[in-house]
Amino acid sequence: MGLIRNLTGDQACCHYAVEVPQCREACEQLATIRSESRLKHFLQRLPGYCPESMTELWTCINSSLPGVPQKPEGWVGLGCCELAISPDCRRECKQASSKNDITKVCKKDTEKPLYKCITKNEMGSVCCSYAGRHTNCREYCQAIFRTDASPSASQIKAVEDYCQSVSPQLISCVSNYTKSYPNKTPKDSLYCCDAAEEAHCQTSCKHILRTMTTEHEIIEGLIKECRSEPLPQDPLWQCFLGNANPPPPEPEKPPKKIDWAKLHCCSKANTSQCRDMCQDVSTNWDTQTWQEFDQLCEYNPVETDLITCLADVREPCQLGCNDLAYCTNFNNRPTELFRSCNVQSDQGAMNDIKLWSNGTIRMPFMNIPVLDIRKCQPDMWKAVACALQIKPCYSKSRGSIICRSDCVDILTQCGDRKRFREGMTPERICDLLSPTDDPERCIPLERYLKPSSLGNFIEEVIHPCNPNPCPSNYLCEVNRKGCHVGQDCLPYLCVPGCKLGEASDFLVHMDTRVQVPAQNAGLGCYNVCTCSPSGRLENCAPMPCIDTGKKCMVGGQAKSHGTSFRVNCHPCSCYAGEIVCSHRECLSSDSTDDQRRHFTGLPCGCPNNFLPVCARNGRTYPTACVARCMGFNDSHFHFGTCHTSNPCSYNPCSRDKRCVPRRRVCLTDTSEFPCRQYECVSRPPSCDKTQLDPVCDTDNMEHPNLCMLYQRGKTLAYLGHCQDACRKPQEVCGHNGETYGTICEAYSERVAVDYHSPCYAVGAVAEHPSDSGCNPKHCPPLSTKGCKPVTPPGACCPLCAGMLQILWNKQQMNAFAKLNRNQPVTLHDILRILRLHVSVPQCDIFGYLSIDSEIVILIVPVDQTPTPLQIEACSKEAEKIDSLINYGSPTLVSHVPLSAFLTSEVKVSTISSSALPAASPLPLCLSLPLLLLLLTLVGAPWGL
Amino acid sequence: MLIISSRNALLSVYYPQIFLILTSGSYLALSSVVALGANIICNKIPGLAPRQRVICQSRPDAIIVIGEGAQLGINECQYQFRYGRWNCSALGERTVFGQELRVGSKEAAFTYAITAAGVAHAVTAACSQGNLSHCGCDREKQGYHDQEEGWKWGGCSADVKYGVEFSRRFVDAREIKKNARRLMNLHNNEAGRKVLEERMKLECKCHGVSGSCTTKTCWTTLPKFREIGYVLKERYSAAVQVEAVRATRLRQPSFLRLKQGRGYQKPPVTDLVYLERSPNYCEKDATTGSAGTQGRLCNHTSPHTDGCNLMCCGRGHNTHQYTRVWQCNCKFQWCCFVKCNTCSERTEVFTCK
Repeated sequence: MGLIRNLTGDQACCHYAVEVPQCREACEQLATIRSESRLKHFLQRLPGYCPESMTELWTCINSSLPGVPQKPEGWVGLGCCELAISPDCRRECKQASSKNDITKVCKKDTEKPLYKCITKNEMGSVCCSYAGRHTNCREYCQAIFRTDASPSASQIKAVEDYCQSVSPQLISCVSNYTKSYPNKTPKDSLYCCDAAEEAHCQTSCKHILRTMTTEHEIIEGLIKECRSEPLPQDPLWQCFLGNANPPPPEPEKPPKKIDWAKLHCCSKANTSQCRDMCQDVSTNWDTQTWQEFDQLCEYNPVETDLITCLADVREPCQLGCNDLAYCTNFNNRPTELFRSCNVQSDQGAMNDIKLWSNGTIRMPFMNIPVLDIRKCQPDMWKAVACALQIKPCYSKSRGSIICRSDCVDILTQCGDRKRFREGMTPERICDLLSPTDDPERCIPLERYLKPSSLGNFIEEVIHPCNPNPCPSNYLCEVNRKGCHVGQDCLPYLCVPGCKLGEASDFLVHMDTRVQVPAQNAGLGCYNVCTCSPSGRLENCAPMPCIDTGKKCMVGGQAKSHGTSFRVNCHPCSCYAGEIVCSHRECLSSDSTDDQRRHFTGLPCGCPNNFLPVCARNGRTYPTACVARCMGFNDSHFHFGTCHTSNPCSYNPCSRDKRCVPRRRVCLTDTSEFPCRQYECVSRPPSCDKTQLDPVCDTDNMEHPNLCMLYQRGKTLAYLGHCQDACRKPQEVCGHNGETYGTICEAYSERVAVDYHSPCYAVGAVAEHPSDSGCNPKHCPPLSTKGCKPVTPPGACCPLCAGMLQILWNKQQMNAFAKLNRNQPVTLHDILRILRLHVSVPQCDIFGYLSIDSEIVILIVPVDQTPTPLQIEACSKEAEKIDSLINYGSPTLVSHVPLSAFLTSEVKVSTISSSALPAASPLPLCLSLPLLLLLLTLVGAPWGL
Repeated sequence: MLIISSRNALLSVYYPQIFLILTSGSYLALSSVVALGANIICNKIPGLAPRQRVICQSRPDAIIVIGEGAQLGINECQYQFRYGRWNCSALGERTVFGQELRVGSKEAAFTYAITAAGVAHAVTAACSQGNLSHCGCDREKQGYHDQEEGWKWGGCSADVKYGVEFSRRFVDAREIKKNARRLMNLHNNEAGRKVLEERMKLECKCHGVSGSCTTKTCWTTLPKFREIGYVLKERYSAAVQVEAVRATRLRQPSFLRLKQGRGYQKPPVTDLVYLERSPNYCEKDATTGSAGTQGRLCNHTSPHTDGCNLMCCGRGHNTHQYTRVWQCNCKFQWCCFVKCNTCSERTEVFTCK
């Protein structure tokens, strides 16, 4: 037996020589030597570089050299024989007892896959021989080398679990292999092919990169197939050029191209390998790790959180789909969520169908032979192709997967059984592709076999930013403020933004602050940066690092950082080893019926009187008892509501400035960061007249912006256009317990109206209200018949809306305030940013700080008499935001101060089916038992 | 079979020198194979001069930006001349800089100026966005505080000098032939870049109550490229004809002079210059590079160059019908969104025969 067999294993030993550079260097050469005599020669000189005191190294080298006992079951390359191209070679391979036996029949240049496989197995046999008699460990180890694809993260983890105690050498040997796999090849540039504009070019590009080896061949092939000379303005060639390393003499390294948004996701990886790779991909866009990452992590069920997070950054789950020319059944669906409703995906679906018509569906890890799909169930196949491209998604599961029964169904009918690999059945394939059966987690094809039942009356709910009409580098924002007279008025605005890193496509608004992972620092370290007008993130300042490794002990169980759980009625979250819970009042199991009946949920068991006090965080509490319970001592609050007290009464401003009340509710510590309720303004010398942010003064006169109003010496009544409805004062009670002069004033503070009279009572805060001072007679009628309303905590009246109750971290809020020149974080800051996430103009966002200090967000239809579809849309928006918070998606939590959100609970108004348009497809489908089967594809489409 | 067991024996046969040669020899073999090198792609890019290929190979990141800049120029050219008989097209191979006009006409002058400006614009923008190594924001414009005016430099000022210099280095390297056309092209390139430099903007942000300007920070930004397009279009209309003057010794064209001017009057730096009169661009013509107007869209009613009469050079036109859909009657609704209707209309388009 030749020496070559085991050489590759030697490199694994070299890590024992880390501390002695010269030895390590010498050791690494070992693996590159190809001739036996040279190796002997070399080994004889090795001790000069590696002293014999390095016992571990020497034991390792010795054991990886020939002489290690062979496995009894056949020769090492036996498993590879199927890869042989010529039948003679295959036969010879099966009968051989060593590699030497096949060299005559199997030519090295024609049987490349075979020899590659043998080399791999040789490496495997060396690595796995460390397992000794530990069969479990050996089997998991062998599994890694047996697959013809690269090993999956779960396989690697299994080896780590089973072999850690058996043999550290084995672990290092295996990880050396998994790290180096695959070698740098043209295949690493495969992702560039997606940049090509034409589908034909995309497919041939992938084919060329897979089959050809020399640069020259590849480039000639690309020029011929794509019919384009390499122009640097062509995205395909740009990708190759960007990917190309400059030739060696270039002294400087190209700067790292970072994608902060993706980097955010990396902490969600479950295996260390995917985490490292994710960080590599996100911080250095030029690296060739892409392909590897795709293979190891993209399709790995263990890494669902990571993959979903990345998908959210790349293609956020958005309401509504329209304007498709091929996948027309996906049009007019304003209340369903999609990731990729755009022309490119529409085209992609059409191309996929063309490819599949050739009789094979190519998947990254298998090929599925099918009959002629133009004849067998063409509508179903179209739905499959469209679903995989357009990617409908759910707020709960967030993946875009086809249901299992659909998969089995279509493969049973149209799979080409004759060409199936041995042992393959539709069920088995579908088990692999779609392991989930949950109707809330998969796409039932039934829904997309016919056009939307809504027909064309799409005016009710629109989604002007989806598909995105803005140029790149611009954010699309729903137009909620109207336009200058005489200007083109569109339902959306394109505003410039900053990329979250040079390599990122994810944009944030100008002047907002974002939290990005700190480079070259630990996992829990973040910087807070500002998006400057030049379009870059600037003024970055570090946040205090947190230890994400610390766990919380809850009821004898360890919970890791970032997980949410419930303790009694409290939603809780583990934050760097600390348990953060809500301040809710819970009923205990031994409460009497009487206690239950009188339970209001007010903190500290306070009575439900209404004798309001204003605390110094700017919030009005129903009684002094509640305020004390929330941690304010008697000097920190005064009687009366916050809106009735005048913060300017003792004029705190300097003489040349005017004191203007500016009410706010602060979320930060009030002693450290004072929550001022006023602002000192001088009469501004000049104002920007083109800035449109209309405001209405107390004389019902409209001004283009606040600056102009102050310039004219007026007093602000409310933000927004002057409304006829608010001309006369008509007092309303907001959900926050404040009485407002008009609806407009309440809306201007982004507070929704509870009932149309001054506040007189506090509603129940508990989930199951029983007793409160509210009189249901005072409540306005529900806006829509048949809606199952929600009652916000502390409010008296129910309303049709989507509601979120958010638990947040005060410590983090304080840290943000400290970094922002000690400016307190206010509730309004949060509402302003969250409002940008509501994509349907028919829904608007309101919110307040609940009595027990949770942030309550309401997503309410803006129409006075909303249609069921509008209520459904608002509920979907609420569910979408809820899941973004609970998944910690960077699309949301990159924004400061939303990063301080810990967990959220959602309640939505559902519409009883009688109120919905006749044939709504959604509830129907969910009840059908047929619709369960799936194809786990979040990122890549089917096909080559 | 070889099993290392006796270290002492091994230590006695140890030749460090031979070993070192061995090591250095195998280092070469270790250098990793790059999927697709910049070298080979740069060699295949059509229309590059040798010096440009060298820049491409050493800075593949920059060539992408250059390509985008050239495309910016080409797109703007097509926009500016969308109603003309010449719509910025030409016959022949598509290169980085678009299709080239053979004749040294006013149109050629425009394309050179706009691509040179486009490259400078794109490079400057890429620098301030941090997309390009070796450059960034303008270091000179930082920190300076003007007490009287009440503002200071802040943010990222676009480094237009770098962009212009880069454009000069790359775009001008295209002129390898020593002829009159070279002088014309270089002059127009420079004129295009000059326009960009002149149009740099000072932008300020006010810090104060919403919209008021008690203190402010300022930075320079690039103008919108459309603006450059309009300025160059004006310069195109006012372009001056020149001729090359040969230096006596080398018998090579060495500078340009105004054709109409008296004596050796040089053309102004900011003017576009041309050597030959333009063809009429009516028909396809390989000698001039004119693509002709056949198949072009034209306006049935317009009396100008976009009208079917002038555009089609009297050959007549075809009529096609289709339905146009757009958002219309947008209104602000209480409270608070903008509502639009969808309108549609049957319209006709006309193309030249």
